[in-house]
Amino acid sequence: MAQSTDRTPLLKVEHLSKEFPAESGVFGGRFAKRVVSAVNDVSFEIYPGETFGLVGESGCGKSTTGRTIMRLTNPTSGKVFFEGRDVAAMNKKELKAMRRNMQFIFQDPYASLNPRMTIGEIVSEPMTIHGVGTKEERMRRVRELLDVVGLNPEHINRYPHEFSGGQRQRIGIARAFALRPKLIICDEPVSALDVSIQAQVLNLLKDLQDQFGTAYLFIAHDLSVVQHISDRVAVMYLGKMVEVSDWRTLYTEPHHPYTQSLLSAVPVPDPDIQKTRKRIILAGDPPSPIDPPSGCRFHTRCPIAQEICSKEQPEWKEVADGHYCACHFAQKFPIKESHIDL
Amino acid sequence: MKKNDKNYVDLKTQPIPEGQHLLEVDDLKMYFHTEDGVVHAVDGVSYTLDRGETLGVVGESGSGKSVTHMTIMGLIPMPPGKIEGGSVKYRGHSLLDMSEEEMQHVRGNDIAMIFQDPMTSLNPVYKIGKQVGEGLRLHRGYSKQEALKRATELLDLVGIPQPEKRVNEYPHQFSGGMRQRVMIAMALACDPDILIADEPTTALDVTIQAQIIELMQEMQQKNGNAIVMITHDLGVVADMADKIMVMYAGRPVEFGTADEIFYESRHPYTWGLIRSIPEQAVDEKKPLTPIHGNPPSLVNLPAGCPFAPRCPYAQDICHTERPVHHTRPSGHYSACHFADDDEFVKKNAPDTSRSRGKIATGTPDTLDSTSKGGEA
Repeated sequence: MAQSTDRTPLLKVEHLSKEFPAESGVFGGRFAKRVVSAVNDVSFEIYPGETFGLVGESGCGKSTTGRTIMRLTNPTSGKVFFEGRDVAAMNKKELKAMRRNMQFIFQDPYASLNPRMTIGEIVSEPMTIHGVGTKEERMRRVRELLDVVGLNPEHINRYPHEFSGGQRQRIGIARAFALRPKLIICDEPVSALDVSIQAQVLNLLKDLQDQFGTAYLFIAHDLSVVQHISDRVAVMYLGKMVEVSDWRTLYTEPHHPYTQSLLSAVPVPDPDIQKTRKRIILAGDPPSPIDPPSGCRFHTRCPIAQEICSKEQPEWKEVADGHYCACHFAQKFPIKESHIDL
Repeated sequence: MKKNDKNYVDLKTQPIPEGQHLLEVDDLKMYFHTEDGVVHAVDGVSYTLDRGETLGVVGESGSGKSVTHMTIMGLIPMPPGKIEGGSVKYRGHSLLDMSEEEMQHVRGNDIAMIFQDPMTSLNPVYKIGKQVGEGLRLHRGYSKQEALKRATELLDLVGIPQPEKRVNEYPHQFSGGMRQRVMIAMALACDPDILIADEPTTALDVTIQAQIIELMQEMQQKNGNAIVMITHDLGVVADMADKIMVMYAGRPVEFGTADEIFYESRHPYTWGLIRSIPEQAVDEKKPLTPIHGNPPSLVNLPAGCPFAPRCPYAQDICHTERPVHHTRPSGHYSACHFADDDEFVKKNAPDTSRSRGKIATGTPDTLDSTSKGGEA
C-alpha cells in the first residue's frame, strides 16, 4: 500500500504551526505575552490509501496537529492542503464539504458518543448532516456499517452505555466510515482498550482500509502499535517533527537520537531480549513548550548534544530516499554504546 | 493520626517461619455482595513471594489484579466486600485476621502500595515533605523536623533535583513522572518488606516509564524488598518480573516464573495475550490474532472455565466444569483442563523467540512432564 512515490498527495501539510496563549484569565489570554508553541513548523504529506503514523510523548503536539488539519482549531501559520485546496482558507460551506472526506476517530470511547442518542442515530448523524440519502436508505446503510465493524445490526436502537469499550470504539469507527471518507484522523484510537480488544480494533481498521482504500493519519504514543499499522511513521518531540521514514527504516535505522531512545525505552514482551538489550534512559522530563529550549528542542535531554545543538536549529534534511531527520549529527543509530554509561 | 504504640513490634523484623514464604496467598476469595448479585471479584488467588523477588500480575481491566491486592492490604470496605475463603500469611501472620489497628501498622510500614494515578493519590493541599514524612511520624514516631529531614533525603534518593526546595512545594508543582517518584519515596519511607505497585507507570510516557522502572529496580537491589508489579503491559513484566501471575475474571489462570509464562505457557488465555501484542517485526508484518469477544461479567460468570466462551480450543468439559490448577513440579500452574496434555500445548502454543530456535532451551520436543520446569 505504501507505493507513494509519484502520486499526488491527498493531504499536504506545509510549515504548520500552532500557538496557544499561555496565560488564562478574564481576558482569555488576549494580552498574554508568552505562548505555548504546541506545533512548530511541521510539514508532511499523506497519500491516498496509506497509513501515516504520528508518534510521540504526551504534549508533543501530535493531537494538536490532527485537530489543526481538520480545522477543529485554526493554525497560527502554515498551510494545509486537502486534495490541493487550502483548508485554512476555506469558508464554512467549503469546510463542511471537505469534512465529508475527512473524518475523525477519537481516543475516548466513553466521551465521544452522545449517551442520549441511539447507535443508529450516532452512526447515521454524519449522513444526516450532509443530507445523504433518505431516512430508510440511511438506516439500511447503518445496518451495513454495524455489520462491517462487527456489531450486531439488531442493536441499532440501543444506547452507548449498553456496550463495552471495544464495542463503543467500533461504533465510533462505523460513524467515521459512514460517509466513506478519503482520510480518517485516528487520535489514539486504541490506547483506552485492553490488549486483546486493541488487537481486534487494529485488525478492523486494517480490514476497512483494504476494503475502502481510506488513508489514515494514525496518532498514538505506543510505538509498537504505530509500527504495526503504519506505512510511514513520523516522530514528534515538543512540537517539532524530528524524523520521518517508512516504518521499517525507522525501526531498523533510526537517525535521530530521540527516535533511538524512544525505541529503546519500550519494553519488549520477551524476557530473553529484554535482558540482553541496552536501554537508553533519557534524563529528566520533557521541557515546557512555553519558552522551548533554543536550537534543537531535544538538546536538554540528548545524550550526544554538542555546543551547536543549543545554538542552531537543525536542518530538516533527507538522509536517504524518503527518510528525513532533523539532527545536526544525524546518522544510523546516533547514540553509541560509549555514550551510555551503564 | 494515631500515635505510635511503643510496645508494638514491627512484623518485618520477625523471622519467616521455617518452610514458609515472605508472603503466602492461598485460595483467597473475596466477593462483593451488590444489589445486582454477587460479584466474584477475587476467586481463588494463590501465590508465594520471597524477599528480593518481583511478582508481575497481568490481566485485562476487571480481571481482579488490583482488587486482589486491595484485599490483601485490607483496603476493601466490608460490606459490600466479604472474604469468602482462603488465607494471606505475611511472615507467618494471618493478615485477614488482624484488627484494623494492627493493619494500620502493617500498611506503609511492612507492606506499602503505589497507585496508578499520582495526581489523585497525593493530597493537593499538603506540602510534599509533609506527605512523604507522614509514614515516618506515624510508624516511627519521628518529630516534624526529623521527618522533614528524612523526606528530603528520600526525594534525593529517588532522583528529584533540588530536594531541599521541593519538599516545600505542593503536588501541582510536580510533573507526572516527578509525582510518581514522590509516591515511590513515600512508599519506601519506612523501608517496607513488600512494595505493591498498581500500574505505577501506566499514566507515564515511555521514556519516563523507563526511568521509574529503573528506579524501582535500583531501590529493590538496595533494600532487598519484594515487589508486586500489577500491570496490563506484558513488556513491563518481561522487564521486571521473576514470577508472573496471569489473571482472568477474578481468577489466576496461570502462575510461574517469567520464563515459564513467556516460553512454556500452558494456558490458552496467556497464548491469546501474547498473540495480541504487535510484534517488533522488521521483515514482514503479520496480522494480529486477537482474542474474540469480551471478558465476562463477574456477576454472571459462565459455568465451567470463565475463558471458555472466548477460547478457540474449548471443548464440552470447558463449559461445564471449572478447571483445577494443574501444578507442575516447579510450582508452575495452569487452570486449563488440557494443561497436562503436552500434545495440545505443543500444537497450539504461540511461537516464541526460543521456540524459533534463537535460544535453544525448552523446545516443545524435549518437553516431558517430569523433567521440565526450569529453576524456579
